[in-house]
Amino acid sequence: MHESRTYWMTYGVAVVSVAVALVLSELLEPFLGDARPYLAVLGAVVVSVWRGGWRPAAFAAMIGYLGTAYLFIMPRKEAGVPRSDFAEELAAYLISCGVVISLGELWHGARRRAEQHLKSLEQEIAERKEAERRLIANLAIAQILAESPQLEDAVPRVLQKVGDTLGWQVGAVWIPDADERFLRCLKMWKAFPDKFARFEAVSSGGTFTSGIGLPGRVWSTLKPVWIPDVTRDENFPRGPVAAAEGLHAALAFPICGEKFLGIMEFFSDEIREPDEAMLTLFGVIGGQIGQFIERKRAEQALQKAQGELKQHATELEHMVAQRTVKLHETVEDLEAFSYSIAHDMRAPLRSMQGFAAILKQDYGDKLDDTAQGYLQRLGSAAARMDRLIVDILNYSQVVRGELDLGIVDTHKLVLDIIHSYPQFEHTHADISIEGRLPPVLANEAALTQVMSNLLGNAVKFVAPGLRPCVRVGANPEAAHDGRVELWVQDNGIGIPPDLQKRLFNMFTRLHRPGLYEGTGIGLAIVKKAVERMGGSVGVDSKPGQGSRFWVQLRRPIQQ
Amino acid sequence: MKEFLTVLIEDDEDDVFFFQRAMEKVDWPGAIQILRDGAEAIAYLTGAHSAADPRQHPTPSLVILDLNLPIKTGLDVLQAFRGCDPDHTTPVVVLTSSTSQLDVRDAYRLGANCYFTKPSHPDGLVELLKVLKAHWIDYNRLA
Repeated sequence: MHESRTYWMTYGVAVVSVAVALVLSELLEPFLGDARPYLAVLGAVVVSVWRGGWRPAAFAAMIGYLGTAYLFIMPRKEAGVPRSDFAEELAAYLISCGVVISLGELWHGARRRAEQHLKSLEQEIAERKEAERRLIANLAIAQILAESPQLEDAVPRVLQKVGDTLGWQVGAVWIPDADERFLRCLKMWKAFPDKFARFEAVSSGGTFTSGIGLPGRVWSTLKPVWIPDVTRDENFPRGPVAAAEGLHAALAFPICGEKFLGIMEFFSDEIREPDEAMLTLFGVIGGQIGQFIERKRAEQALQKAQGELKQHATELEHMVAQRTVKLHETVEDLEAFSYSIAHDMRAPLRSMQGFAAILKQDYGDKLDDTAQGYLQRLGSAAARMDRLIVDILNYSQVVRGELDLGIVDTHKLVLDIIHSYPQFEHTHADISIEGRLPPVLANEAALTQVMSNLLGNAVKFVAPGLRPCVRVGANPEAAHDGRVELWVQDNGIGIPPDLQKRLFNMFTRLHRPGLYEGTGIGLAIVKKAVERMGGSVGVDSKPGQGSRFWVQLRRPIQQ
Repeated sequence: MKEFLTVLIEDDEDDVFFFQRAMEKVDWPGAIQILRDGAEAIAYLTGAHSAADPRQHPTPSLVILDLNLPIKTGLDVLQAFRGCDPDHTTPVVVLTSSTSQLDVRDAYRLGANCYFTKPSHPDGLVELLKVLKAHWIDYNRLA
């Protein structure tokens, strides 16, 4: 409408200038005479082409011709001026008009092109400036994010930088509550501290659910939103306060990393039309801030976890130290306890045995056979008790004592046992070693205990009246993991398969008391000692066909 | 030549009885002084070296020492005795129920001459005293 009015105005200018030209011609006629009747109208054509281009100029030339013809040519025709003069004048007029209009159009074209060029140049400069501001803002935000140790430090600085650089007066950050039911204002920034107080109060005290208000709208779509004038927006509850304080344009964008974290919004005191480039920029900035927040949170979580881990480790160390001290105390108590068992329990036993023996020796001739039998039982019960205590002490020694491992000459060890233990003499057992026993990695005292227990069992558990026949041997290749197997084969009564599992347990005895004496601890000692030396123990046996006990121990490392 | 004096440091009444019986059986010579606890033993043994009248506190010829004693342990007694007998002129026979290797080591370290565990049968004690008599009294020369 505006344009068309300007357009018609140019025709108005043509009409007015022609009219003025005709009036001037009329007034100047006494001085000019009728020699140049078109001269003034030609001036009107020049004015028309200058103001409106070729169309109004052509229109002016036409009405100028008609007016001139009516006002000057007709009276002159009637006055009898020759026709040829009019034709000549008309031709000159038309040619002049043509030249004037052409020149005018050429000038107009040149001017239009110049204006257009200037305009596009200005636009380009403006765009570059805008792009530069966005770039500066972007760089500044990146720098803030890089420098900030905490989210709390970064947010106010980002708000201020965006506002200052891109010309917004108020900024705010909104974050969802723990249950993600509504958004609440985390932080606000104002370019002028003494302005927009009511808007700040309304914002920082308010909450928005999804889809409601500017933050809610961004939350529901996760896309930047630009409102040219919030005072005219229907979905903007803070509108009246904004209107009262002179805030108009608004921009909000989501802060998203892997997931939605919050919203940043800005307000301007001007009405601003949407700027696509700025919207795109804020989409990117929102992503950057989101990634920053998530990275910071991950770092903080990591730091926290590391701190907790460290604290936990310290506590654990402390606890281990405490327990170790306690354990040492317990072990010391146990050792003292074992020692007191050894001394205090065995001392009265020795007295019982001693007095029983003395009674028998010194007063035996005054006692009848029954009394002698009771004395015998008294002595053997005490002896059994003594063995039990000794075995328990041996077992506890094997369980807790230091077992330093070294290279043990098994062959010599077994020979020494056979020759030094009186029980093998008494039974007249036939004990032989097959081949030469290889050395093993063991504790000599513990292995002596093991082999003497096994040999003792081998000669003990034979059928009454049968001469024990025990063979000891080694099988260097029996175990697959480089161990040496030592075995003790007897011609004893054998062990039923269902009892073989319990055989190595504490206090396991497979026979009635009196038939085969024993405490039921010997094999438990064997098992514990072998295990503490890093080996294993087992038995292959069938009732009535003897038993074959085997012990697997580590081979000493070859020098 | 002064009388052979054996000091027996032993708290167990029964063991003292077995000792006296076994000593009779092996004809143990000289006098026997019996001390019942560690403190008494230390007082006697250290007093023997410092007393003005040697007749009241004669120097023992041989000490038979139990380790598990009330008030002061046998090892304490040994340490105190060797403290005032630096030349180890008096033999000390440790005779105890302890089989602990730690005790054996400590006893030798503190200057024991030998270490025996108490036999559980009276005949064993008689056998042991026979050996001790032969060694320390019949064959050994005392300083």
